[in-house]
This record gives sequence, C-alpha cells and structure tokens, in this order.
Amino acid sequence: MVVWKERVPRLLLYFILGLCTFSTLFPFLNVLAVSLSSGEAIRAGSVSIWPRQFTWDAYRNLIDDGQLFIAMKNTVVMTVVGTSLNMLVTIMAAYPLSKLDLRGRGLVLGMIIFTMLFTGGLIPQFLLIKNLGLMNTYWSLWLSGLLSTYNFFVLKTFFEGLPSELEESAAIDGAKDWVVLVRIVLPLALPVLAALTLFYAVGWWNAYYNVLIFIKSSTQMSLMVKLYQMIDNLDPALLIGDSTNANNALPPEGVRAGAAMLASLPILIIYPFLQKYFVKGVLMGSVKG
Amino acid sequence: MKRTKRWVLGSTILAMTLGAALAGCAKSEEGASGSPAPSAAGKVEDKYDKLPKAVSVSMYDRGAVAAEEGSYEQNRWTKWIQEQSGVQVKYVPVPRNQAQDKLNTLIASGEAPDLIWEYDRNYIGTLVSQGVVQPIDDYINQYSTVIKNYINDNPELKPLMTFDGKIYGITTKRPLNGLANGGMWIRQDWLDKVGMKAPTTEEEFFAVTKAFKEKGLSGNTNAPVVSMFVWPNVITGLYATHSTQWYLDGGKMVNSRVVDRNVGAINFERKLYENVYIDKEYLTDKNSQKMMADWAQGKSGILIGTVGNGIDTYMKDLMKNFPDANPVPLAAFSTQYGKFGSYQETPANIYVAFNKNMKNPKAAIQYLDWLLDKGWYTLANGIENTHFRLVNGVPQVIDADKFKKEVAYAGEYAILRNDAKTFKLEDLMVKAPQDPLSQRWAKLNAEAMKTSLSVPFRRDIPYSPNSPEISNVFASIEPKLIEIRTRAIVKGDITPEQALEMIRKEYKSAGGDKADQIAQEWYEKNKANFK
Repeated sequence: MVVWKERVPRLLLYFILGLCTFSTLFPFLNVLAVSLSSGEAIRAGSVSIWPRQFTWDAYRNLIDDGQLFIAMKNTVVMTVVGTSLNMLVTIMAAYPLSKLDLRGRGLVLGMIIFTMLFTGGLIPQFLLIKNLGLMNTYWSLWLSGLLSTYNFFVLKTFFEGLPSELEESAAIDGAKDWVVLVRIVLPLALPVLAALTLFYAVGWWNAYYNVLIFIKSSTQMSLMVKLYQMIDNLDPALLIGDSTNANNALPPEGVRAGAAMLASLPILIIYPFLQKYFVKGVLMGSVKG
Repeated sequence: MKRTKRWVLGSTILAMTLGAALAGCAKSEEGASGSPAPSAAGKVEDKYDKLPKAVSVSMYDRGAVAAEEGSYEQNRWTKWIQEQSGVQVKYVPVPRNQAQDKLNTLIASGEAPDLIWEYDRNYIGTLVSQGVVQPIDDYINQYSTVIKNYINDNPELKPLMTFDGKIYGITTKRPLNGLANGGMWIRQDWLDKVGMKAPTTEEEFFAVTKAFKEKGLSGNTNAPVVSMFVWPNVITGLYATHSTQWYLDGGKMVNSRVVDRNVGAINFERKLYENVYIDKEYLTDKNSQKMMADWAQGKSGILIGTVGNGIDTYMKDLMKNFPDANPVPLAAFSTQYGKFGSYQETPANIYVAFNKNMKNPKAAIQYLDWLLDKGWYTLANGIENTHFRLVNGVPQVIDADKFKKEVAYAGEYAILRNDAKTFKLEDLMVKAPQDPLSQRWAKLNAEAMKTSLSVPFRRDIPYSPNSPEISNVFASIEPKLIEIRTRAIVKGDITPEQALEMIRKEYKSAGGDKADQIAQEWYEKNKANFK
C-alpha cells in the first residue's frame, strides 16, 4: 500500500511525462493523419491527429507507378552491403588500433583523425571517384563512406576498455589473433556492434546527397532521392516556369506526409528491437566511473 | 585554438597550391581545344559528317517515369526520338531539385552533356563567363534551317539569347499562359454586398478592404479579409520593386532593393498588417497554408496571389463548397508611383547551351531543328487519337490517367517548342477536364491571365546583369533586409522611409557601390541590344 503522500508527486510526474510523450508524438500523429486525409480537408486546415475524409490517395500516388519499389530495393541493397562493409572495416581497423603497442599506431590514427577535420570538398571527391572509374556504381558510395571516424573511435575506445587478461588467457591456450577477435572480443562487444550497425544503417537508409551526385542513372536512385522528387513534382514553386501539366488533384502536403511515413517506417519498425543495445552502446566507450 | 587556426591556414594554402597546379595541368592538356568555327565557305565535305550523329542532352529527372515505361534514359519516346530525328540522343538526367549542383559537378569533371539547359538565364550566363559553353551563331548559320528562321521571326528573343554579343543559349517563346504569373482575385459577391466597385487605385483598395472588414464578411469584424499566396510577386510588381530587377532612373541602374518605391511597398504591407486586414501570422505562414485555407473556406475577400495552376485546388474547393461565391480576377491597381503589373515571366522559356567540348555540333543542331520543327508537338501531346483528339485544332487529352503515365514525362524532352504562335488562352478550356467545375475554373483562369497580362510588368531592361560580385552582395545582406522589412511591417517602430534608409546602408556596407558600378558598366555595354 502506497500512502497518498507518496502517490501525488508520482501521479504528477506521470502526468508531466505523459505530456512530454504526447508532445513528441503529436507531430508524428499529425503527419500520419495528414497522409491519410483528403486534399480538401488538408487545405481547409481541419486535420490534427485524426484523418478527415479518409483516403489512401497519397500512398497510391507514391506507390502507383512502381518506381518506389525499385528505389526501395536499391536502398535495401545499398544499406545491407554498405552496412556490412562498414562494420567489417570498422572492426578490422578498431581492433588492431586499440592495441597500444602497435607500431605506427599514432600515424594511422593521425591520418584517420585528419579526415575528421578536413575534407577535400565535393569537386575533388567527384574527380577522384570518376578517375577510379566508380561513377554510377554503388561502390562510389560504399567506398567513400567505408569508415565513419566517429564510430571507429567509439569501437576503439570500447576495445581498449576490455580487460587484457581475457585475451591473454586465450592466447596462452593457443588461440590465434583471429580467433581471439572472433570468439572472445566480438561477443563481448555485441551491444556496441548493434548500436554502430544501426548508426550506419540509418545513414545508408537516408542516403541522399551523394547518391544525387555520384549516381547518374535514374533507375539506380535511392529511396530518399525518389521521395524527394515525388514531392517536388507537386511543388508549385518548382512548377512555375516549368511546362509540366500540373493538373494534379493531389495535395502536396498529403503526399509529403505519406513520403515521410514511408521513409521512416522501416527504421521505426527496427528501432524498438535494437533500442536496448542502442542505449547501452552509446554509453559504452564513454568513460566508466 | 591558435594551433588549429595555423593548421587550417597551412592546409588551405597547400590545397590551393595543389589545386592551382592541377588546374594548370588540366589547362595545358586541353590546350586550345576551342572548336574552330566551321568555315563559312559551305564545303561539301564537312568534318562533322565523318563523326557518328550523336548528342547528349541534360534533362530534369522528376521521377515521373513509371517503372513499366522504363526510365528517363530508355523508354518509348527515346526510341521514337532516335527514329524520327535521325540522331542518337543520349539523355543525362539531373535531379530537378538539385539541378545546378549536379550540373556543376558534371561540368567540373568533364562529364557534362553536350547540350546543357536551364530555365534560369543567369545560370547560363555563369557558364558563359566560366567558358564552359561556346557561341553558336556559326553553327546556326551553317547547319540550321528551323532555328534560323525562328530567330528571324522572333527578333525579340535575340537579345535574350545573346551574351557578350554572341548567341549562346537558344530559347523559344513562352505561350501566354507561361508568361502570366502573379495576379489578384476579389470576391464579386462581397463587392456587391458592400456596394462598391473593384478597386483601381491603392486608396480604393484600402477602402474596399476596410468595408469588407467592417461589414464582418469573413464571419466577424476582427477576422482578416485578405489572403496572400506564397510569392511576393504581386506587391513587388505593383510597386516595381521586384527582386529580380534593376530599374533605370534617368539612365542610371538602380537595384530593386534600394529604389524609392520600396517605401510604398513596405507601407502597403504595414497597412495590411496593422489594420489586421491580413492574418497577423502571415509572414510565418509557410506555404500560405492558413491563408489559403481561409480563401478556400470563403473567409477572405481578396487574394493577393497568382494565376494558373498553383491555386486551382483552392479555387475549386471554394466554388464547390460555396456555390454563391463569385471570385473574379482583379487587375493591378495604380499606386502613387504609377501603374505596374504583377510579376510576369520573360518571353524566353528554356535556354539551351552548347558545351564547348561537344563532339558533333552539327548533329546537335539537326536534333534541335527537328525538335522545334515538329518533334515538340508529339512529345508534349502524345499520339493523335491514342492520347489526344483535336477539338477545333486544339489537342484534348482523351484519358487523363493514360496520358499521365505514357506522355506526361515526355514533355521533358521538348526543350524547344513552337507553341506560342498558335496558343490562345481559350485553349485552356479545351485542355481542361470536361466536368463543370473544372470548366468553370478553366474559364476563370483564362480570364485571370488576360487580366493579369493587361497591365504590363515593369521591366526596364529585358534581363538582369549577373556577376558573382553582385550576387554575393545580395546573398550577404538578404537575411538582414528581411529583418528590416519585417520590423517596419510588424513592429512599426521604424517608418518605411527609415527602413529604406537602413536597407541602403546595409547595401552600401556590403559593397553595393561596386555592384552598382558593375551593373552600370554592363548596361552601357549592352544597351544597344535592348532595342
């Protein structure tokens, strides 16, 4: 039995937290409602968090011509391959560099940090990709985004924090470095790995600008680029001066909201399952008290 | 902190030297590969005849090609174009929303297509000054028939195509509905209720709004009665302070941001705001959603906005939900400075420029000639009796869904069009869907365009100078200028006159004098073309 005295502050706390939750959910619900409402209702400004004059039109418009699925497929390929490569390289870079007695460690780290502070700029990067013959292939994206310095440091710091006795005992039992890494170190690092995977995957899922610049073929575009285009097609400001037949009965806001939903849905679905790792992983690599 | 600074400086210098070295290399490699002009002797044997007839063209990727149709690079129309024009055309899609970024990277890496086009004349101007594109007078004279005749028939386009005395960008004329842009609307039924006529002067305009408000026609006497749609194209047109323009004041170039008439324009908005004729939140109403909702709900009596398809849905909502509502176009009224129309586009539609590294200009001309001659019509309308039928000589879409899927994207290929010659505003009614509501709107829209075009937009010079110095000045002060104007309109603690003073000060301190000087020199140099 909890006494009332204790209960009141608690209820108040719940109320305040509930309010906070609702305030973060509200925009999301609003976008969802807008994406399912008729153009007329949206234009009249009568949609808040419940769809008015329910209709699938916005989604139909987005899905109708089959392009979205192609783009979705492209993005999935980009994300799966990209993230796998990222994780592979990040692990293989972070593990050796977490060993303090590695020769040339300072130099390599310096080179990696350098990229954090300076970039070559768009045109030089473009020239590089072009001269490597990677234009219009996903390798241009995968290779140029192979390692995120930030993620690399998170993982390296985590590896450094592992007790060295673990690895030493394995080595005494005759395990090679590879075996130590795969059998001992990585299982211990699972939460961090999950978090980094998510970081990378979200990055790939949202790939936009680089795709725009390095990929030429219109059928190889990523989901974000496609969604962006579809929204633009309804934007009166872009249609003015353009000779397109803007006889589109669809409300741009509705389509925009639908696009936002479609873009965030997969990540939303994955996130709850990874969240506990995520929180842990972000805290890992920070200084332990 | 100090250390990083030194680092940055050091690496910047390093990068610059490297960059310079590389640029040097690139230059020496290319040598003087500017294509020698074809000799005008009209030789039978032309060096371009040995080359494959191929040309690559940039195009906007709007993501409008359905998966089963193929892609922008390969579809029914690209096949058709190859067959009909006899030229191997390769299309290079650039995303519409980042077109210039993408083109710039393509150009910088030598990957740019042979034909580069944009709606924005200034962009082509930039390419000219960077030496990316080449003059094309000789090619037109030597290889073209259709374009050559077109330029002779439309001499007013020639100055627009000309940069530094040579033709660089081929452009075609917009039809009337492409010219009209800004425009105003007023509810005739409201006018009848207050027993007034449509305003023709600024005083009358405010008298009408006052009457609307006092009569509480929007529901109560506190509610705003004026809606504004997105662009400032109307007010800056009425006062001739449009941001794209330079105005001539006794032969002197003055930028629109600092002309005296800004006082009137700011004052006009201030009046709307302080009397709550317009929604108090109007400056933060992004995309004008709230104000347009008011208009569609029959809550406002005047719409300062646009003509054309930007507002068609709101108009149809209004007419559908309020059968008594009678929105009519309102012509530009006169102000103390004179009578100027709201914004209208220049007659030039798209500018097509020739990459200086182009292999076969002759093929490019052949393709463009074909396009302007008859190719554009099919690309814009589809196949007769499959996609459209002719009604009094005007193409009418047979099945909107089919058209949208199979033809709509093809219009992107028709960068040169000869449609202005035959287009009449009444054609819009033939082209619109045949239901009564769409027809009513089409008729109103045609009227609105006529009304809007009846008062010409003040354009003292046919096109504006562009130079990086000038655009840098504007880019650096634009946020500040918005702040000053907003303060004068919303807070009202400075008069419009003081606001203009402050704006001029900002302009001067950002290098406005230099910009003025460049503009003046440009004007002296080019004014012979402006006839």
